[in-house]
Amino acid sequence: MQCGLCTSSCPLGDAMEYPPRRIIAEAWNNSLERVIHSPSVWMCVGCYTCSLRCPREIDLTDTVWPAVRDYALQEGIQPPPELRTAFQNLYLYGNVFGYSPRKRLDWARNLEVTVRDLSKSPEPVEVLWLVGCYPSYHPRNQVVARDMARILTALGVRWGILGKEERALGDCDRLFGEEGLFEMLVENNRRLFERFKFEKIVLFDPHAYRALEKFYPRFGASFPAEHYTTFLASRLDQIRPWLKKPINARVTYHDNCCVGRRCLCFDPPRQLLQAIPGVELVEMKRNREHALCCGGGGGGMWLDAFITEHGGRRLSDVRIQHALETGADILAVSCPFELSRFEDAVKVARAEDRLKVRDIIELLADSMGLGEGGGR
Amino acid sequence: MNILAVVRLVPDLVEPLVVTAEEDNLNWDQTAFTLNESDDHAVEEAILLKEKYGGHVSVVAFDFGDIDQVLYMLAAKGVDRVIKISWSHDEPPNSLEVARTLSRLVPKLNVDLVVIGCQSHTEFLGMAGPQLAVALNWPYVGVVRGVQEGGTAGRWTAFKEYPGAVLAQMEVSLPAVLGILTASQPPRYVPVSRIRAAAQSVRFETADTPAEIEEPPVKIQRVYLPPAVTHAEMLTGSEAEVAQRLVDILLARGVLK
Repeated sequence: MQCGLCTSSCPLGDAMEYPPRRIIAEAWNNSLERVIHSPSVWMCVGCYTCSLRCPREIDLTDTVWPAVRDYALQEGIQPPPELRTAFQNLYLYGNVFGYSPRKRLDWARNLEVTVRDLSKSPEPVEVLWLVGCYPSYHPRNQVVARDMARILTALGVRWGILGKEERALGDCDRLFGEEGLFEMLVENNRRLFERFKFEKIVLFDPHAYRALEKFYPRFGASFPAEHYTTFLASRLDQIRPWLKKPINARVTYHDNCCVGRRCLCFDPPRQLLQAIPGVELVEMKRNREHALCCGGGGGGMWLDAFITEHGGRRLSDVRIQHALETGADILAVSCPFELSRFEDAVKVARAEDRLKVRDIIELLADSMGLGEGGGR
Repeated sequence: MNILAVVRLVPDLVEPLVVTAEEDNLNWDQTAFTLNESDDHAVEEAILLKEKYGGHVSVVAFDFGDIDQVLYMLAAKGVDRVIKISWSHDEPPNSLEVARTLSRLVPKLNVDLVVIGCQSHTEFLGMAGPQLAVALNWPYVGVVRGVQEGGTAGRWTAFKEYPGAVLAQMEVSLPAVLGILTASQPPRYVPVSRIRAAAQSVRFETADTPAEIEEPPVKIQRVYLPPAVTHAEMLTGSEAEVAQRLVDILLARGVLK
């Protein structure tokens, strides 16, 4: 294969000493030793563009990059310090922040709806909601978690969470070659999930959803799972009567890489947005399977400084320009990484007065009269 | 060179510390533990010395808390021998207990150099290293951030940090005890697959249970959270109200006139 479509499609390929095609060539030549000493090995942000466009359907993102990184780690190459810290935190505490697992439920403090903490009182539920690390701990994302709790309750869904027992599902660590860490998380989570009775798992995090859908079954851990966008879109008839408060705004939607390009799920998020009265949905010039990555996937979330140093740009800064070009008032997202990434990018662009970043959950909750109005 | 690294668990500060109802100690049942940071550096420095000059690295730890996972990780990093000292008490050993126990063990191990973290957040004075050196009648250099061969008359060179960013180069004859502040490079990351492999293959050696704990010469009278004597004032209200309140404060303090 010499077409090079992977390299020309890669949003950071031009900045890599060893872009995807060259890595394949080095592997052919049995000279990967050179690659693993290059910063390039840590620069893939797991956007899946190369995998989707490869005419031979080589899944570079899920196979080639993790394999090269695994080789690097096994050879004793040290990952960049911030990634190392994220790995260690996942290993020790089950979350990338290094926070106490006992604080996983802090987001729900003083919440007016009932939160079923299955770790304290196991009972059968319809939905096991995996809140995820960012919505559990990150203040901006905690708003989204509370809005989600209110929406699920309003819809009459019998839902529960794992409280202090919840741990990251992994995925970014797998993409970054830490297969052992991923396996450990899979084994722990499988034992944890098997203790409870539920009909399906609903997740906020597209990366975790992707891991649960595709990679957990390889370890004998098969659980029915949905990303929240498809789960809520399937209940749109039930949601519609609640959507009474108009949100009079031009809204553009950023397709996250895992739900979008990787799982080819483009319509449910848009259906949710278009159901909100007053919303005018406009598209960015790169949308759906061609959407530009925010740069946070595959561990890129913890490598901003490294990738900016070696790549010369933050992809979220580039992407926010696409959103501004549409004239939208709101950039809607459906991934916990993206709220903080794009809110930072809006500040870099000095466009705080023109563009707000909101999770789809927040917009739905506002229209349903349940929201906290985050992101102001 | 045969190096022995001492590792200890300390309360993990990601969890809030809980004091007993009697206010006589931390509530150990509600305390999570983690590897003492400067002990982690001591092990790294030991492995770096082995990689540079050859030899063996042994690690010794008290069998307390979840020490096994820590020892597997250190074995995966390159430690050759792991020794666990039995310990059946609710709380981790204090510095005197560490020193007294190791002073009986070290002479049996044919060790040239003992490295230990120069302090921990449970022991700011960093007494374990000096107490051990005194008990062994070996020289001690503390607050070390690098070691290398090449002193005069077969001695080794330790780089010691003083306050005010002053660095001293000290010669020390072996055997010796070194209190490590930081290793010459950050402790290495080792993939979890290696740790899991170590958990399958590493065999711990065990050391004798130390003699009955001697009554420490200094006893804790009371452990408590310091009472708040002052607090920050959070300014609330609209932007105009907050701005006016700020102006009032600055005027009252004489910053604005």
